[in-house]
Amino acid sequence: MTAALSSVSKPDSGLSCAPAASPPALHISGVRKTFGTAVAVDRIDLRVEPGEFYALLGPNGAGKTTTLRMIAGLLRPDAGQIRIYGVDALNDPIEAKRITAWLPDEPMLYDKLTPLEYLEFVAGLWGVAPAVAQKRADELIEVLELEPHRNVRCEGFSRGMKQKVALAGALIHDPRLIMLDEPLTGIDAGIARQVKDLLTSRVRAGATIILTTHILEVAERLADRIGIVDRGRLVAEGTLAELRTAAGGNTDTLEDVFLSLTRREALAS
Amino acid sequence: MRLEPGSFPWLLAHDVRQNWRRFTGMFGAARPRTIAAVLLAGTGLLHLAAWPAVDWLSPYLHTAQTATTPVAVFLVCAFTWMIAQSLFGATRTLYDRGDLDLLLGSPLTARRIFAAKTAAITASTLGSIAFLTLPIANMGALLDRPEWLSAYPTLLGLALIATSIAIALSIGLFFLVGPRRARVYTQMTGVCIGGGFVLAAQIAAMLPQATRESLAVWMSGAEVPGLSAIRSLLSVPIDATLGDFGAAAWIVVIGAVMFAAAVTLLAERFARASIAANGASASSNQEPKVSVRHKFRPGVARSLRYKEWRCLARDHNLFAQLGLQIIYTIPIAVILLRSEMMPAMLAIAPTIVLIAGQVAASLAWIMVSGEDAPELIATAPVAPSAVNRTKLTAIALPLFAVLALPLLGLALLSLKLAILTALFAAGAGASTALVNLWHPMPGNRRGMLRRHSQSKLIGLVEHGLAVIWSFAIMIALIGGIAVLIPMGLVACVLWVWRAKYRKKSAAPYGRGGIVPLDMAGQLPSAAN
Repeated sequence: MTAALSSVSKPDSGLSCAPAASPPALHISGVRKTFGTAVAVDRIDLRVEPGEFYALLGPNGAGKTTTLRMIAGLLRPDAGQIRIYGVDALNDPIEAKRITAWLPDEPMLYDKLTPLEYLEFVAGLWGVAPAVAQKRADELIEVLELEPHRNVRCEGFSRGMKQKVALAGALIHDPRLIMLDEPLTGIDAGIARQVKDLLTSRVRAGATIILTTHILEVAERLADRIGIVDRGRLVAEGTLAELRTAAGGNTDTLEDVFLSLTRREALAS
Repeated sequence: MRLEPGSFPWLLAHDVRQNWRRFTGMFGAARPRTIAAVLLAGTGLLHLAAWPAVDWLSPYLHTAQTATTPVAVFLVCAFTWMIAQSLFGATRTLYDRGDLDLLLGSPLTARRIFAAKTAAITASTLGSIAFLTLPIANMGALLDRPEWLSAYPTLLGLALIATSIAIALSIGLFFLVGPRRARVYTQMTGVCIGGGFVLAAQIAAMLPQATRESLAVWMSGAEVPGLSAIRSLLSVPIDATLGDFGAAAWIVVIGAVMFAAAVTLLAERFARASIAANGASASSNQEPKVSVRHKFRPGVARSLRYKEWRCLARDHNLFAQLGLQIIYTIPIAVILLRSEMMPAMLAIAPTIVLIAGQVAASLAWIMVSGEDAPELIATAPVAPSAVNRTKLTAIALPLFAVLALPLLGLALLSLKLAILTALFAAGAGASTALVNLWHPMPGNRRGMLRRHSQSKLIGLVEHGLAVIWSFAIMIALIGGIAVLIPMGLVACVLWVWRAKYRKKSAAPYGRGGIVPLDMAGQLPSAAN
């Protein structure tokens, strides 16, 4: 156990927004995943409360995406438990998937479909009633300013446009837990702003968001709490103020905190 | 020897290396030494097989009178094949891009880059025909026919001419009909020419004896008014193939001149076409492609099926590839029609069944392994069995669309025959689709025809099942109880395949789990 690990704030120790009676939006415990001899995720414990915006930070190869992929049901952990709003995601994945959305860093789109057809397809997969889906699709298309492109095939869209369509797809079934892997990488400032606004409004509406990002400013500005993962372990977690304290107190930005904590972890190991 | 970086030979070597690595990629993880051994053994076997072919061909090629027709047929077939291959190569270069952006962004001239790319296409084109034909020339040379070695320069010259024509055709189409349509038209042209190559061999043999004889007389030099110019043009490659090194040199010179002309005249257009091809899909989005009024449909199965059909119907590239697959199967019908084993109309049925098996396999691969958003499907609250069932049913409609016309034709001849054919076609389609469904081999749907490079075993099983079903209907039509033997064989193959699939790809979750990695085919990054 490293010095940094000892500074991890306990999940149930400082969140005023979490109602005591309701189950956490996400509760994973002892989750471990290896690929051959490489340990990608090493017994991570994580608790995210409903309505929380949680950012997962870490250097490349730290295990952030693997953790999210396990929560999304794309990978089976070697050990540990995953509960989403009280649903055991390992034993009842279909129920867990019903209330979650997963947006990988590479948008999952069909080039030959239009945004509207894509949203229809995703809504169909999640069993959303056509009338409801149609209304939500119209709203999402408007909010994300996709209106001029709603009936145009995605094949020539820019990365940012594709990301917006994929995000609309992720939100069409009104998920309670939204997981996003590097959602703002490679998109311009205007689209990034639209995405951030939409995510913030979702959190205000009660959804829970977990996002990984390399853009520390995003985590700093949007996240209620931040978890720092390094070498498959959660080395620190808390609000920005808590992380500053954990990093020694004399750091100004999240970047300093991040570098301080990950360096300390590297030295310790 | 170290080539000067940026020079033509250096660029050509780069392209040839890329093509070589793509080729050796078909051997999976085999070591270079193993690949070399396999290739050496294959070359040896081809030369051994060429020995009896030389014995058989030798009397025909002894005199000009008997040699002209077979040589002319060979040349027509070889040349059309070369043009088809060059067209595919040109399309790949323009649209699949690879390193084109990097090269065109470098300080090298477009002409040099284009020359290297075109030369690489020529090399692949030449290689595609040479590996089958040159062993015959080599064995002929060993067996007292040294003049047959003129096949080397002749094929080189023809490959240069074919590449020049194909490049001019594809760039011409590009500017004539626009980048998006040009890709489809070029591929369809390649399909038709390539199919023509396969059919020509059979059709030539199907010509009446009298026609073949008069063709031979004409080719041998008899005076036919107005056609002497054409004959003299054709006689050059014929003479070259028959050992006239002077004629062969002429073909190489003509090929080199055409190649140089194509490179000189088309290099700039190629660069412009390449840039336009890159932005083709983006510019195409300026106009809406479907109706603005769009009503959502309910249901998981319906959503999945519509998605599959839409993606398929809008992908002209896939249509071209499926068309190629069908055209290449048609000669089997021609062979069966020529045989005296069964009545003509009964010869069609096995071909339909064979096509059903192959097309269903391709469609299954497109829909399962070629799924564009596997993670989306995997994260949806839908059981994998339901997804698989739906995908299987989605295959039925396009398969029916392919088979409807020939089945209707059969129904006009005999309703019973049509029903029987439809049943066997459904069986063949279902079994080859299941092979793909049970053991997906993920890949980009654009590379549908190259999918078996991932797993030759799947290709073997697919083709094997389609052929067994085809034999089964032949036996059924003849009326033997022996039809149970191929049917039992199909059942055995599927049973073994299913067991293999279960063992290798058990669902990661206890119940209702998706098999995301098998469906998605995206291996997780080790630690991300």
